[in-house]
Amino acid sequence: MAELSKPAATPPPSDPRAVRIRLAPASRLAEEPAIRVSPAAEPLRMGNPATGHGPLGGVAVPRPAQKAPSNTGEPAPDHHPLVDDAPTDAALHAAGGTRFVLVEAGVRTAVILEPGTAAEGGITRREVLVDGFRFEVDAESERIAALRERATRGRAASGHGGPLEVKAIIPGKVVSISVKPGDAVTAGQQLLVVEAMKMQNELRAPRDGTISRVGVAQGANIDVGDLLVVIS
Amino acid sequence: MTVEPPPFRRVLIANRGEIAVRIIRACHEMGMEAVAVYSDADVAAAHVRLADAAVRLGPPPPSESYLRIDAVVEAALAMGAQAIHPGYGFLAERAAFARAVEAAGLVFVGPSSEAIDALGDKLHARRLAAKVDVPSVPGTLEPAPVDHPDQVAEIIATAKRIGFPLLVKAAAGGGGRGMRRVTRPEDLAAALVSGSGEAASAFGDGSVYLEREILPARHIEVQLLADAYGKVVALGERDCSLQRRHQKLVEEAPAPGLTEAQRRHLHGLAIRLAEAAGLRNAATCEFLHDPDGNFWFLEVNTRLQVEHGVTELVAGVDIVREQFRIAGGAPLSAEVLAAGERAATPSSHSIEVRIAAEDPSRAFAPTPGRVGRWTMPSGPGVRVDTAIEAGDRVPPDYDNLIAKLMVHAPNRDAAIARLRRALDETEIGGVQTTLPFHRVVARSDAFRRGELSTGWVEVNWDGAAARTEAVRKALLATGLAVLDGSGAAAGALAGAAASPATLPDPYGGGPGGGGATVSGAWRRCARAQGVDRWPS
Repeated sequence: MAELSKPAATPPPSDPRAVRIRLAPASRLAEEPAIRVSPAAEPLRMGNPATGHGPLGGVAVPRPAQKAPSNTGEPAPDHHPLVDDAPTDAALHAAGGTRFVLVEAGVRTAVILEPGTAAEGGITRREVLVDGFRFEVDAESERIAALRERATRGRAASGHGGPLEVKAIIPGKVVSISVKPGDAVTAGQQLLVVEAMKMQNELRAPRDGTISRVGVAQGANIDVGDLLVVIS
Repeated sequence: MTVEPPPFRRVLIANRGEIAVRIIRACHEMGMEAVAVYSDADVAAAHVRLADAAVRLGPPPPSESYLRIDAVVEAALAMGAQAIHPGYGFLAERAAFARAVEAAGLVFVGPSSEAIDALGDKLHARRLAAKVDVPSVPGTLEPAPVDHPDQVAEIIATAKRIGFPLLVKAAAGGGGRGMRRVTRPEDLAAALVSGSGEAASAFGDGSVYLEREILPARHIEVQLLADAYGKVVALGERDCSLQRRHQKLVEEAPAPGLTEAQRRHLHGLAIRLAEAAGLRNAATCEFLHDPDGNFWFLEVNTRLQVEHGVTELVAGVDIVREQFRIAGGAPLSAEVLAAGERAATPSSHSIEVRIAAEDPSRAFAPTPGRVGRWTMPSGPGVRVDTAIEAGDRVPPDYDNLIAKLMVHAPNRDAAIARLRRALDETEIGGVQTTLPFHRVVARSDAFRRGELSTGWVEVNWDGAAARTEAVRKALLATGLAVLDGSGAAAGALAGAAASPATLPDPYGGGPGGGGATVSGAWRRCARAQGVDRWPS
């Protein structure tokens, strides 16, 4: 019922060349949404249907046509790519090898895009360095991402509010555990203390719930990804 | 001109990481052989590669390797070393270690074990300061009764007299370990127990005491050198106000905004304490500087400091070299005495940023892992002290400092500009580092104006916002690159589809090569596209 009452359950069909970009799970904190980047709508006179081009850059795709160079180096408005369906004036210039310059409204940012590797499900994963940060970023075809989402939508809806597994994000040693199965916890409450790099790091509950399982013992050495606590 | 003979033939360095490399370099410059020690986590580490010989101590945990006094002394004897340099951290401020070294007939490169006892223990130091009329931060002079739950009421009453918020601090500590900030009396007991526990695990001594929190305050410290003949020299002061978790992130010399009279007064306080304690070799006297202009004595570090390099650059003195000379029985050199004369009237400026493996957008949480891309800056006035190379692992067992970037320029504004430039050349992949924070510092108006305080990071650094903006750019750049599969992008982004032979070496260039590569590439692509690529 709730499903049916939602307006526009199916998003409008997007450009088949569109790509979906989001942080890889290892770099993601809580809710950090994906963006959809599509090429500029191609005027017919360009005569470049761009069929058969893999959107993930697996094949070298010739550029539609060389734009007349302008003083700003930014593409003319009708060539603006779309980010989440809104035109952007951002442009990316190759600066040799894995180095690029992102130009937005005249502001230039040096970006390093390391070579991508194939991750599961047709996703290309690469490390991106910008402003001193480093992220792992996933790119996949928007079409495939949308298909997968439709297939898992039912599951995701029923899974909402289900058990939450709290996993180790740093390796270290469990110094103390403040909760036991059955305890009610509130978001922000201390769960356990992990000593890493000679510092004691407090791990706190990401949301309210009840502890259904504690996966480690005091004094245990843990590695990244180890299950620490399950909150239901 | 005669060349001074080296004070020792062979020296053991009881440390790891960048400081071990720094000391090995001094040994080699002085014509001495360097013996490294290592744990199983550091078999292929830079200090092992650079040393003339290396001795395994044990498994990765510090308590089974770098903190084993017996194993370190035994290694020195077995390798025929005549002296041991402890660096900083680990055994550097353990009087028991200095005693064991002395008992084995070896020379400890640092203060005597008596001086470490007198100054290294913060409670001893506070009592000593009181004796020579150096004002200490208000607080207790005896260890808190952590093991006596019946005395809780008493310590809470004492705490109320000192005033909240206050700090629980480890008597044996350094680097903020064992320290807890307490805002309410009811939290004091828990803070004493957890602080004491952390201190016991980090230093083998769980003694903690109370100290008033002075905020806002600047953290200013004085670098001292003293010889065996009672001569003490202050080489100048450093401002180390920018800290997180009471650990320093940025240090500079001299401290901006002080008058010559203030400098002379401050250096005098430090020298008075050092003379009273019978200090020898290198030490640092730390003070808090409050907005009213008072200097409050905090503690003495009886060792080489992480940030000694900025003083070296401004004073023109190689502090590690002087440590070895002093340990060999030489009096303070003429250069050191001259540098001491100039210390209150500095004529250049140096800034250091500590690049650590931690995520500044997640409360500076540690991020051990394997380093990928590693491009360090170079060029005029830039010094990088590090033990990391591309592909090296940052082990979770030790301190997460991976590089110290120092700049030196005729004045502070020029030093900040140089820092900004050097940070733009720095590229680190594989593990998140504190780089985003340092880039903001180098562009901060508050920092440029010298508005420094130990609360600076909380006020001026919005890690979440910086991360959000960087994520936005990273996603956008990736999207644009993937859409535009042409030119350089195709080769760089194709990944598995491209022939490995045509892929650019992701870690190419190596240390020092970065700057030239970047600017060269920018110029090249500017020519190709007729675009002004001058970075804004």
